[in-house]
Amino acid sequence: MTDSADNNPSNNGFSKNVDAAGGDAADADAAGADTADGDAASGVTAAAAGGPTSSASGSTTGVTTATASSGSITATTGAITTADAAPLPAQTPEDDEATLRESLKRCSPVTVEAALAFRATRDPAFVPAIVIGIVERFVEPDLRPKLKGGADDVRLIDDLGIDSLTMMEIVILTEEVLQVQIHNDELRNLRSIGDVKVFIDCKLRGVPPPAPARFLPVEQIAAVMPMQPPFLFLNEASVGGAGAEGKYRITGDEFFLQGHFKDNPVMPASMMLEALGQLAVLALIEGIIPSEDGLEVDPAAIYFTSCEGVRCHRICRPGDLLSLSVKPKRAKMPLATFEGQIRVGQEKAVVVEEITLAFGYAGPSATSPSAAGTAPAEDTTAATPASEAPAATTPTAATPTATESAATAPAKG
Amino acid sequence: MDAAAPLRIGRDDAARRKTKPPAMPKVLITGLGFITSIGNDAATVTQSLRALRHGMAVYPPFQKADCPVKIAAPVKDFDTDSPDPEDWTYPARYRVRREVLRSMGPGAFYAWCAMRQAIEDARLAEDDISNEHTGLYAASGGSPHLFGHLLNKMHAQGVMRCSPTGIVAAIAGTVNFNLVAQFKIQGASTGFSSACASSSHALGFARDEIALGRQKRMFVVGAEDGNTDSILPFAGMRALSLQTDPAHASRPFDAARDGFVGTGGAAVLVLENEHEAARRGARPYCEVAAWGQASDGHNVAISHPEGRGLAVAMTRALRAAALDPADIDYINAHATSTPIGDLSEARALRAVFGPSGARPLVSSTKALTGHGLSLAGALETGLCALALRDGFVPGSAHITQLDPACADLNIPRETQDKPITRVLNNSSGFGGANVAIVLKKT
Repeated sequence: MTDSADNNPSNNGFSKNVDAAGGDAADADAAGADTADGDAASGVTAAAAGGPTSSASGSTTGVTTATASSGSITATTGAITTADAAPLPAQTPEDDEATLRESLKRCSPVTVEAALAFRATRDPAFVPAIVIGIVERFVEPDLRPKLKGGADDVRLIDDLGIDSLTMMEIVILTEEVLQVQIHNDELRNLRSIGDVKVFIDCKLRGVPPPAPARFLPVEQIAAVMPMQPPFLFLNEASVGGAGAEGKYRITGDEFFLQGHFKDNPVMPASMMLEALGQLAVLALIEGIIPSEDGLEVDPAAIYFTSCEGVRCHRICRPGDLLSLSVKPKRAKMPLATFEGQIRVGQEKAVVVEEITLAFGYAGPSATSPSAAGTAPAEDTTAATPASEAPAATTPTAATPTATESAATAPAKG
Repeated sequence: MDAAAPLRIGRDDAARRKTKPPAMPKVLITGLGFITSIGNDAATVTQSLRALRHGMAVYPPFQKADCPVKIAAPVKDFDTDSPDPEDWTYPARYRVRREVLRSMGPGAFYAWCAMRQAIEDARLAEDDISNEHTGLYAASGGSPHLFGHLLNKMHAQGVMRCSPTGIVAAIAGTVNFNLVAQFKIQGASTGFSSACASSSHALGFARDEIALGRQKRMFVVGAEDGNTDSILPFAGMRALSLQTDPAHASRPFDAARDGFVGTGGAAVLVLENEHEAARRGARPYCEVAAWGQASDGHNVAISHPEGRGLAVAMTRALRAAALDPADIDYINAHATSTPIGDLSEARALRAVFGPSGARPLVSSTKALTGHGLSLAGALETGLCALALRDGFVPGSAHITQLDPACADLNIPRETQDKPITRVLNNSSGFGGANVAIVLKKT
């Protein structure tokens, strides 16, 4: 049927395999027929399944997340691409264009034109349009409007419904179109369109991308935080150089909802601030403020001091998924100030101009925050440290960090 | 299963019989779905059986000089030739999101469509489908075409260019992977791989799941791509008909038969225990009364010349159903139109039914549908369920000259209007695996 098209190596960036490819394909056909001589179609697939299954699952685990490394363009980032390594001599520019158009046949005309222009000029300016166009192609039509107009805040999983399999489809097409190889490690933590753009920009300018955000599932959060259930309001979080993001789903079982309010459970604004404060505490523990002399923040020595400019925009109820974010504004031992925001979906729920925490460092030479003993009680968000180090007592502390994310390959196979 | 009828009763068995086990519930077929070469719904399939309208065609992809096989029985109204499901065209009622389609080969998609029909036919609500008491057993040879595409791409473009859903779309479990995920099945699920007996095995074990009280409801699915890559590899073993006339290519029991005609599609059966069916007010087609299986222990691909395993399977099925050979009205034969296979089955039928003088009607509906490999058992059980409900016996089409070696079999050439109450459906697969299923009118 369409085998002949399949056998045509459509990417000219992989010349080292090209000579062998035709022969391999023919061998594969012959092997299929031979096997079927002896048994049914099920025999064919069963016999073949072992190798490809294991190798494919192994390999797909290695690929993740979207977008392009542009090592081939600038040749300064160290990522050596197959396009650089050896172009396919047999392919003409016309073949090239036809193959590219075929690969992008379900993308917008703008995307195709950007890809053709990129191939012709290698101008990195075309890359964002290509990548956004590829992402758009894999997003269900009813969600595509979210990608219009910058869309930096649009999250790949939550807003666009992109699961790990779709993310790999995006990666594969991006690699093919930009003739690059995308490495798992550099892409594991891309969570928003903004992340993707920053990543590309850094690659194109030949500077290392920002340290990837570190994702923490609830088990890890509980293992490092002084707050513990039922007074822990983070289900998951990621902490990067620019700030921290977290999520909390209001379950309806929170103890304070019994009385807040009568027959009308509403998440108290003070608890929303508490949740933001906890995310800031986690950011401090995870080292978001570079310390002098390599000292580590002592989880037992972080206390709330103040907050300014609090505005609540939306009532939050059981079932709502709070998306929290904090960004450091300034830090000077022993105080660290963050700005924070909570959204539910695309709706703004809480904005805080400043949350300030006092902190101290662990270890023999560590200093304690002067405010520690006198944490002001002017606000109910005062965060109290846990009475004992949770890391030693939480059974899940040793849980591996691998968790489902856009960058995680399916484990089944 | 047949284990309920011990062949030899020792002292322990006698002692055990004193405590009577609770009665097993009857297992009923309450819903059917078809995507086949002779129709894509039960009504069209019934009309085709009554009018002996076959699904064979001169199949365009086979029309090459180096391909002596010219005829196939393709599914109609679907174009699934492309390895990219987004290129496929199919009836608008099965419109589906890309994220559902991307992990399917043609067979899995046919199964998805047939599943939708069966659910509608059985009038199952969402809650009836997705619960821990409802399972799904499937049979398919996987998607050789997609597997070939995947491997070609891997060799030509590198391992990192393989589609992330390539494996789940290609390997033999693809039908159960996809349907269990998409229909949110929470009960028992697995796939069966005994080639052309696969979906009969799935049906037999699904029946047991319900009879043993482990599940209340089971979906049984058989599906195949039915395209170049799933059919033509059988040419090497000289199993395919080389006829060029679609009306003569598949002719089981004919003296000049020369091989089978490949087909694809899907059949889905909804099985429920009698209490569950009654609770829902379901309208059963028939009861899956019992089944039996046995193996030839003979050859990897060739049937035992005397049909030994198939005869034992039929005997066990009859015994498990507490029926005599004379109680069977109609047998849907496995007969695929190969010279060796049909003869082997004729001998097995003679061995089981001959001594009692019973002469049940015997026909092979593969003369109309083609041979659907893993699909065959579920499809033919579905055809038998239609025949039991509507009161007809499908004729054995395309016999110009009956093979003298089958002359003693009671083979109707035309479909007969005739109420029937007990039916046997045979399936045989590679390795000499044989399954016989007893269906009873309810």
